[in-house]
Amino acid sequence: MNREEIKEKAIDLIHSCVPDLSGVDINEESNINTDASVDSMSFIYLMTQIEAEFGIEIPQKKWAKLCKFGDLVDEIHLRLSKAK
Amino acid sequence: MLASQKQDSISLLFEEGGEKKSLTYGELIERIRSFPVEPHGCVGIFADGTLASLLAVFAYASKGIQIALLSPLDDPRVLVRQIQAADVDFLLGPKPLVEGLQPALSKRSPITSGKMLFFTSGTTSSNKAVILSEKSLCAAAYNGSYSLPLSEHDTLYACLPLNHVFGFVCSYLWGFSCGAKVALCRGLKSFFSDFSYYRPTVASLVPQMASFLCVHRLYNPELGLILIGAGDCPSNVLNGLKSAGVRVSFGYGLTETSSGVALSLGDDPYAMSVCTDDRVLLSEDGEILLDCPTCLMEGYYRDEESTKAAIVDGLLHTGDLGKFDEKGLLHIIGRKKDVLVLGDGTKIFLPEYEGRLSSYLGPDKDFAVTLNKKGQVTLCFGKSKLGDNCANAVLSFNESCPRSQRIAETCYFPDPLPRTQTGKIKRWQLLDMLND
Repeated sequence: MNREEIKEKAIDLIHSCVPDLSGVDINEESNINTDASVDSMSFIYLMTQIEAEFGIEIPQKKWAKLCKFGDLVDEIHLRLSKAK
Repeated sequence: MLASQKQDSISLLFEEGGEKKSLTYGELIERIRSFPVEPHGCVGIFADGTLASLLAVFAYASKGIQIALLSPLDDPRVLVRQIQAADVDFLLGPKPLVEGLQPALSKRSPITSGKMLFFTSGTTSSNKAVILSEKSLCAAAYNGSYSLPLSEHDTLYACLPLNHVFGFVCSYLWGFSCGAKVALCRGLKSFFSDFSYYRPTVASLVPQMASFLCVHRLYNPELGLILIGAGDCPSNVLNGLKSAGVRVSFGYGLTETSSGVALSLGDDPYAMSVCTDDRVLLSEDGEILLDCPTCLMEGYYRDEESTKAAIVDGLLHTGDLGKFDEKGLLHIIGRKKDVLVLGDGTKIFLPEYEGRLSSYLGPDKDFAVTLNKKGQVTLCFGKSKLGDNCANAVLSFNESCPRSQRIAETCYFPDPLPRTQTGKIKRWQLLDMLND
């Protein structure tokens, strides 16, 4: 899966997991961790759905560092590459 | 409490080694009896919701050894303060946490013995250790279960922290006092799948969890009752759950009363019946005063001054405002203290929060913080209009806050915000302006 495909899937997941961001344009610079629309439960839910959808596991210690959407995409890409 | 249940009935459901397992009441008692207990003055137990932490709490309590309930999610600086304030001389919990906090262990002897210390934020941002007993906690559970009884056929889903008195009493003791099954949450990540895993009939939740459950429809068909405590819940969530056939009951109580004092039992979740053995009085200014002899705390640990201020002539002054309706049911209408209770049960102490926010916004700003209808932190500006851009300041401030305390909405009012003659914000009037 290339980075663009990862981005598209991740955006779909954000829209479905975080109702307040449904329909909102998400780009590489979008805050997904510090945005007040993404409450703590929504963020954890999003991360569990990301892990399930991509078949990866991201250590919880790393979650706090995933502030921008681009960071999240990079991390998914990295985990998928390691899994190959 | 455990010994009075049918010993071959299931008490606990949990996951171990990837398998769903259970313990009967008899087996649970045996596990508690055989848990290794060492003699200490006060044991700090990290209440992470695991079977091990639950067994530790019950084992030490049954041996009459004093316990302080701690959260593994708290900032280490907070934990150090709590450990020292409660005279904790031994810690039980995750190894890295226990090892890291060894230097903080107290050398003082505790001033009480055999009690259970729960921390509360109180009216300031500093924690106070509330002295409760096994007797008062069990009494609170029995009083609540008299109004909201469960049966051995019920499965109560326990996902609230054991170190919070609402979680301890309403997620664990409530179930045990009725002989029901208590299903242990498999971890925060598993909350979203636990309802299909355990298929509970009852759950105790904070408002944020109830909202999430409703919005994402994560509940199972067998779920019939949710007890919500530690804060208010948006009406759209209550309606959503009701339309799904889930009864919602609100609980009102404080750490100082070993949890619940009143429960809503009818169609109106905000109209509460006072629990048996408890009595609610209202002062002249509408403050709720509680007379609950079986559940009342023994005081704040090493803080006689605060204890005397809170308990006057045997009545606990809650700092909450209430009223009785024509049916004699209690309605909570506000907080005398300047504290906002958030959806996840945590609190914002407004003077401190607004003081910090002021440093980001700059001087001469007419502003105040409140909660909107969705229970989100809302920043209100007076003498202002949309376009007066404080967006960057708010974003920077948000980055410095825990997630639930971030500003979610900003509102602008052309007129000055309503204040008293002494300059204090009239928060109820502000709320009306926001809701209009």
